[in-house]
Amino acid sequence: MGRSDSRGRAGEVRPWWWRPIALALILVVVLLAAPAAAQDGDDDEGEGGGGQFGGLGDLAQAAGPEFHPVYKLSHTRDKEISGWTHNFNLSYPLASRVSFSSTTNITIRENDVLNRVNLQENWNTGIGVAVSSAISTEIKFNRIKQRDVRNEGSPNEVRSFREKESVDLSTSYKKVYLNDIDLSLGVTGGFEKNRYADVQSRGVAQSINATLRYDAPMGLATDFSYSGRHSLLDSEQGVLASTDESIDHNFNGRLAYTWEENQLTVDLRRSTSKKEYPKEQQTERREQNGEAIAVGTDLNLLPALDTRISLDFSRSSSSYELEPSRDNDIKTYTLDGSASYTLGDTKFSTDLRSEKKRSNYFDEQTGDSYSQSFGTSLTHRFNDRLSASLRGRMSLLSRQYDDIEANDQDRDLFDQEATLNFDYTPRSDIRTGLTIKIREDQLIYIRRSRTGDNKTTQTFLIQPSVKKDFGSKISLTQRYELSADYTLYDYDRDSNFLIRNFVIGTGLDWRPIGGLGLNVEHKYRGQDEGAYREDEFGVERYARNSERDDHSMSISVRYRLLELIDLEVKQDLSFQKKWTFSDDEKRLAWEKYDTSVTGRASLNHTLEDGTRLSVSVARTHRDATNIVERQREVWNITANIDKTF
Amino acid sequence: MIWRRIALVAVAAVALSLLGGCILSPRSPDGPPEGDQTDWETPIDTDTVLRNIRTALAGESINNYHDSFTEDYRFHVDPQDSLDAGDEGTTRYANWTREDEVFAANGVFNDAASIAVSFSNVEAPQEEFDETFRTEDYTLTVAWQSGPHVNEEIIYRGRATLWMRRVAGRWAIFRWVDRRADPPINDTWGVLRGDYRD
Repeated sequence: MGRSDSRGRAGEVRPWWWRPIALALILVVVLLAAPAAAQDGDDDEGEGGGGQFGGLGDLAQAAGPEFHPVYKLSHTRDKEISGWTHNFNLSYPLASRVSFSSTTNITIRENDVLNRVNLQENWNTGIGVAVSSAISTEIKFNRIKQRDVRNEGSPNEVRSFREKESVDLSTSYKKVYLNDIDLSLGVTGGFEKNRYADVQSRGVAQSINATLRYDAPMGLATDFSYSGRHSLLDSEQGVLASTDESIDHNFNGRLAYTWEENQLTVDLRRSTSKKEYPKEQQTERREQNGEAIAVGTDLNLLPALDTRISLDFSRSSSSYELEPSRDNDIKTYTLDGSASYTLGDTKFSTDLRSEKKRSNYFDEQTGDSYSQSFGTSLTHRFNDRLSASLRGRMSLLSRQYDDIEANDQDRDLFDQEATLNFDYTPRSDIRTGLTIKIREDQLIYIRRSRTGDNKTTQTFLIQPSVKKDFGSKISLTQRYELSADYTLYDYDRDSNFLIRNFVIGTGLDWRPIGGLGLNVEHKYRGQDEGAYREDEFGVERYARNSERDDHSMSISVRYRLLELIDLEVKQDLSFQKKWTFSDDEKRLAWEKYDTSVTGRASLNHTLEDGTRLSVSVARTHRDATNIVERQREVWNITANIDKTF
Repeated sequence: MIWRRIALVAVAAVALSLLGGCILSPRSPDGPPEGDQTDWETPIDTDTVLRNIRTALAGESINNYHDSFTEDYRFHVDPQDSLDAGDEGTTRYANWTREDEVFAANGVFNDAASIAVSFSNVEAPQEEFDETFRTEDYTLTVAWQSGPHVNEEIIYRGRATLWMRRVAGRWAIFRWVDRRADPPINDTWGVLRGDYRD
């Protein structure tokens, strides 16, 4: 629970930036050496080739011409936060049956204001040998390092880190028998070292895996796999010195039977694990078990009728020796069904889902949850111009706790929604749409101590839109939205509330000449909100508390220069006013504005040798009522180099 | 003929809808509460979201706490809190969703005798947009009645950047970026969350 201050334990004597610089130097050497090596290879070939292998280039030439080191570098800077990412991949055939691969990924993030650096490194190197067409072996080295440093070099410096190194030797066997049976087996053994906070551990790990796949005649297919892992680590944490053993077993199986266009599947899963690790100078022992079975059918018994039904069961449990309060045992039962029927231009579909979840947390959170949902939709295309759809959905989520004296959070959430949508194209250059939506959510707490929060939320929304094309270069779009959102309490009607929104959005898109584009958008939102309650005559009345107007406008010009560089200039302007009502008098509460101008230039280019360059530079000048945004400058720079040869 | 079939399909749809209405029927509550005040305020601005969180924690009202976060909510812990959690840190904070948030809050509610949180604004939001953020220094004080800190009162401090979205006029948090306070004397709310994840 407590924080472990790892200051000074990382043993860092080199500054954080030495690795990217070292990587860049390696890159330069590789870039300079590779063409020369390739050239040497060409010369060797001219002289008969083969012979003595003097370097990587020669080896590559002997094994095959593929040599694909790829380097990616990206940099971003947004306000005070900057980030560097280096990614280096190398795959190299040392000989006809021997290959070398290496991957390095380094990410650095810096926050100048907070004086903070976050570094993540991932190094992978491996040599693989194909002993035969079925057997291969590989030795791999993996190193992961993460570090976060705040206030470096100052008295209040704080460092946190996590490191993991492993070396694995693996052998695998894979063969296809009679074209219908696939068999693969694998064995891995290696060493592992971990360091984090005040914990150090090192030791050995072994794993095995096996897969058997069989496609039998008559449409039956089976697939079974097993994987297991064992590790023995000597761990230290403060006064604790322990030998921690961890074991994992995972089994997966699948049976599938297909006849005509129908399919029946059965999936099985079983897993167990035991893990020991240091925790607050004691050895924590965690045991986990899980099992699942799923039976599913996909039936097409009648033309145009598609039905799917699935039954699932899963169980998982965890137990902890030091923290028994985290023990849990969870069982889930699920029934899922759906059907769709297509008749000419009409499609009807429906789905039903029911789930019961039993959660044992061995405290007041123990209980059941039931989740059920039901949906239908009807879509019809009347002709080429008009189509309509009607959708309905309802769901019920019920939480039921065992100990109702200690836990009064028993509740039901009941949602219902209906949506009607029209899409009408009266002419080829005009397209219109209309959406009408009604939604109701009910929150029902069951226990009397909580029912004060019981409420129903109703939303009514209508959303028409129109788009008109003027030739192929200009299009104008307008959208409207009118909505009302009611919150109605069952027992606390003085808290009833209403929000009303009115939105108009207008957009113009103009492409006068090739490469040049102009876009103008304006959005207006009017909103008012206030209490919605009964008066002394029992009539529901709305008393407006406040009203606000939002205007936002943006203009952007885009141009592609020399078919190479994308330029964009964009200006945004928004202003907002809010009024409050008291004693039937409307008073201006506040007004705000926000404006920004952004210039961006970006380039995506591939050189003749396949090198891909991607550069984007953007600068934003911002001014706003908010003091933080006032006269603010933001740079956003991204550079990406992808070199393959 | 085709219209007849369409009519049949429509009737089937209506019948299924009615059937759905029969299958899904919520339970009835025990009755009206002794007091009739709800702590929930309709979150028409981002200040109200913080007020709702404060009252939901104080009143241990899990649904009001749940409603302060969007469906796609994600919590991002301070990197140093994740690293200090060692091996467990790799999974303890990964892909933290609204369900994880509610589960952790429920666990704290079970063990806490009282919970109080205060926010101090560092960077104000821009509410003219449908998405905005605000940065807050928080102080969370929990008096424990059970669990590993029984009979202790512990203070959690940190700085949170709260990204919020407005849907149908209501604001909710869709991203919480947690950072240690400077200097990091107390554990963050993120550490507390991690201790109560499933």
